[in-house]
Amino acid sequence: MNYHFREALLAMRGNVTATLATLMTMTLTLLMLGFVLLLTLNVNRTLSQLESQVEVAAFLRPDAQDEQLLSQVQALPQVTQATLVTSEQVLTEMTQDSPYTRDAAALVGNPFPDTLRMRVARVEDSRSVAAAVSALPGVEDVEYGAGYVDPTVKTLTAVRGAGYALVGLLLLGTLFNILNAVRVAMYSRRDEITVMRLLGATRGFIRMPHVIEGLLVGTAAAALSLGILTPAYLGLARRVQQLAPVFPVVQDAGTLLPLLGGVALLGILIGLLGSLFATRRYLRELE
Amino acid sequence: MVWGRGWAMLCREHERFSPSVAVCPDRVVRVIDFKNVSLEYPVTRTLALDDVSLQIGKGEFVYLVGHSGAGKSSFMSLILKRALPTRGEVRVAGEPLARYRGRRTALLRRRMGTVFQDNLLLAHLNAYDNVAFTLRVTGVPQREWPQRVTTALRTVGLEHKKYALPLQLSQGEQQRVAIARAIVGDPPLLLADEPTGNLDPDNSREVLKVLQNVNLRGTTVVVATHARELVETFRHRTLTLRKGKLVRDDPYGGYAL
Repeated sequence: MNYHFREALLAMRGNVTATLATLMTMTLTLLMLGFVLLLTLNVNRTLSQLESQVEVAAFLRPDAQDEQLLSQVQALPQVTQATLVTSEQVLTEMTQDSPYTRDAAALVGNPFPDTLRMRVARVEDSRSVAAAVSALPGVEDVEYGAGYVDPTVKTLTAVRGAGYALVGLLLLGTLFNILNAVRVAMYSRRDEITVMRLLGATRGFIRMPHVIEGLLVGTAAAALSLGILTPAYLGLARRVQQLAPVFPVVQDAGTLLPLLGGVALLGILIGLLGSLFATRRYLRELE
Repeated sequence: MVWGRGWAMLCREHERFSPSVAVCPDRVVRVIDFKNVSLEYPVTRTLALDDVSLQIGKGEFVYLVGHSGAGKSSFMSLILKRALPTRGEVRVAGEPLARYRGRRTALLRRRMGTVFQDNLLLAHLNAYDNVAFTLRVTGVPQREWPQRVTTALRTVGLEHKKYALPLQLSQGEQQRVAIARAIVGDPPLLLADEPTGNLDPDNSREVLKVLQNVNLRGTTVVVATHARELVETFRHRTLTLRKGKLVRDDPYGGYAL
């Protein structure tokens, strides 16, 4: 094994440019992947928080049959919870936020209608529930939080998709870089490989140094990307937490460690599988 | 010793992979067996060997002579399984060549020493390491290397130059190191393709003497060569190829094209 390891190091030293190009591309890819995954993780957490707060509110006409409407909306399968809030209760709530509201109401009367407040199972359901409820007799108007959730979800999904596409392209670029690096290394060793074949070396023996080379580059790229990504993310997370505490930024080790470990493992796997594939292919070419 | 480490081991491999084919050491008399063998290279449509039939027995020393393009190297390539016959059958150690697949091809080559005109020594390794390279590749335990490499270098008369790099050796010495590398694994068969092609007459004779010594230890030796003087001086069975055909098989030697 010492021989294979030494040969791998010699091959890397002999093709510094190709090795560095592979290392850089792979590091960049893993950084991007880590970034996109962390973004996804935070987006998912933010969305689930938003979802838990999304509410559909139906404002009722004065002549509406409140209790009957309440039973009707409770019967909707997407609605998990529905409550009837009278105009007086609404006024009380509003007065807590703005004390002058009651004085205004004393002058012009209570402007708030009776309201049905509903929670839905999924944020996507809020649009259909709003449509169904607004069609009911006695409902004057309907409002739902998805009005701001929808564009947010769309934007974040698009960003996430673009990130994955970029990572896919970078992975492809990394793979080509590995293939190229192994090819250069094997061609520079072709005399040695010819001798090895004639002396009775097995394919595994010939391929081993290049497989180790791929493994080493993959491990180095994984270490480099984690070395950059981890402190950068934690720094950014602390900053976001200070500036906008409303965002539930993921910082707990239990969630972050498996994700970062997965990114590192992927780097090592790409190095290993790329070099396995390349050595198999180019050994055939040399034969 | 050659027997024990060579064909017997190869035969054990045969029996392990093909129990139905009984190739015990005492039955392997024909080391190389060509039956109506033709070889045509597909791209150039060149007929390199044309209906060649011959046998080479255990412990023989055989010259293969012929002009350039006569088919000498193709003959060697078939034995090494670098090519497969287009027609006919090649048997090595009693086993058809086609049955050597994957890892068994490597095992077959371990039982053959090969020497070429370009000695294919690795320039960054000294003589000792070049010879030991065979042992490394074939997985021989490292503790056995010093004795076996020293013995091989002694056989070719280069024990005193074991730390010299190929560039510090003469062409003849380089070729002798290549022979040491070929015999260090104690192969029962040694193939030498134009081993004296780049050498002056004195060095050529030295190399031939070394090959003869290897043969005296029981190794079957096949030498493809142009060197008329050597074939005439060191007489052995001589096979003559012309345009891919075996035109002469002279058991007493002699160069006649």
